[in-house]
Parts: sequence; structure tokens; C-alpha cells
Amino acid sequence: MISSFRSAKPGLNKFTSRPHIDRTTGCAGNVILKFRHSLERGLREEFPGPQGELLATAVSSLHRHAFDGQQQRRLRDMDGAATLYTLLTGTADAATMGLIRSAMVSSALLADMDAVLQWAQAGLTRCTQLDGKWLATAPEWEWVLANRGYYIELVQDLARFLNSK
Amino acid sequence: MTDKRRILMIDDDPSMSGIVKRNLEQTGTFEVRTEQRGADGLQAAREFRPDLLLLDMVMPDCDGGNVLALFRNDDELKQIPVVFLTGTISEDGMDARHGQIAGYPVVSKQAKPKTLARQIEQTLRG
Repeated sequence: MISSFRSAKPGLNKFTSRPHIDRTTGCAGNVILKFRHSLERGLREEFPGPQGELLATAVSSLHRHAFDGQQQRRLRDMDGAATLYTLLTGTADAATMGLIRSAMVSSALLADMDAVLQWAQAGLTRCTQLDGKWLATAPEWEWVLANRGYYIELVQDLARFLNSK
Repeated sequence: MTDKRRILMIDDDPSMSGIVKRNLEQTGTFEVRTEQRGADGLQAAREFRPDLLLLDMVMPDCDGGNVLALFRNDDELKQIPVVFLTGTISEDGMDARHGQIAGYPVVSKQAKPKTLARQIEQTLRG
């Protein structure tokens, strides 16, 4: 069993020796991962401070760009309901912060200025109540609160770029 | 002495609070006091003795979940029923969840005034 794992080449399915194919993109999974990491690294380097971090962390949510407005809204509501559930039951944790980020990206894709403001505020309020790692995200939420129109433009441009063929 | 039901609304957005207060008071059934800071909620509740709390989920100083925890930890105030307001979920999204999250009534800020009044009356009836 161990030898079969060792013989598997990176990116190959260990049982069939065929590359794992990402259903959304039709590309090999390990290639997708490398693209994503390179893109995230590049965004952090290219955009100074909170902007780069916001864009890099938005990349993983942007596959949703392909959905139409109604689907996008439904997904945003799902993230929103899951977030409120954790806030109301006192179980907010790192996953909640991920949901808030994701809902904020969805709201930016919907060009919903009020919702972007609400989510940024929720992120800022909660990041101070979790462990130190999330406290470090405070400048990102503050930046969105101060630049929500520009944030929406950046996220929409990034989504357009990623979805271009 | 008034026989109107007293609602304490805590929302950081004064324009939203103003609209909700006006709409609810126009029904003739409710008397509404508004507060903008979650942290001020406990003191306001001790003074106003509300029949129901109307709580915004997202506020700068502490969110609806934090305020709920404060009230639930206070022996005097923990029985007050709560209706939450959210600007982050659409009206359709709340309809799909039958107006409830984690067992609490939640109303979208996009909802019509009648919907909110109906939810408040239903919650007050228990």
C-alpha cells in the first residue's frame, strides 16, 4: 500500500495513474493549485497592504462568478445564514470568518454596496473576538469600509479576468 | 399608563431605526425606543422594560450575537423575546428559511413593514 502511494506521481490519481481532472475547469488538479498559489502570491506582491490580501483571499470564491445573479444571491444567502447561525449560537470561529469573507466577495460580485458594508463591519467586529490570527485581518475590513466602491470594482475586474477564455 | 407593546430596537443605522419606529408606531400597537449601540442595550432595557427586542445583526461595537449573549446572561432581562434584523440576507433567502435561523426569528431589512409587524406580533404571542 505504501509503495503504491510512493509510486504515484504528483497530480496523478494513485489508483488509475490518470491525472485528477478538475470538473469546473477541465484542467489537472495539481496544475490548478499551482496556478492559484502563483496568482495569490502575485496579487499580494503587486497590490500593497490590505488590497493584495483581500484579492488573494477572494480568488478561491471567484469560481462562483460563472453563476447568474439569482444563483449568486442564493449562495450569498447561504453563507449569510450559516454566519448568522454561528453568531446566534455563540459558535463563531475561523470558519465563520471564512464565510464572512466569502459573502463579502459574493456581495461585491452582485455590486451590493450595502451588503459589502455590512459584511466588512461584521468581519471587523468579529476579528477582534477570535484568536490573534484574525486580529491581523482588521486592516483588510477597515480598508473595505473606507473603499467599498473601489473594492467592488477590483473584485469584479479580477472575476472577469479569471473567467476570460 | 399605556397598553401599547414596548419594543426596544438596537441598530447602529439611525435612518433604518427611524423608518422602523415610524412604521411600527403608525400601527397604533407599538411604542418603540431606539438605541444605536449594542453596549447601551442593557441599560436601555432596564429603563424602558421592553416586551420585545428588535436587534440588528451587524453593528460596529458588538453584533446581534454579542448583544443576545449579554441579555441571556442577565437574570432580569433574559426572558425578553428577540426578533433579529439583517441586511445581509435577502427577503427571499429568509422566506426559504421560514424566517428562522438557529431557532430565532430573523427578518430581512428588505422586508415590507407589514412582514416585520406580523413577525413581532407572532413572537409576542409566543
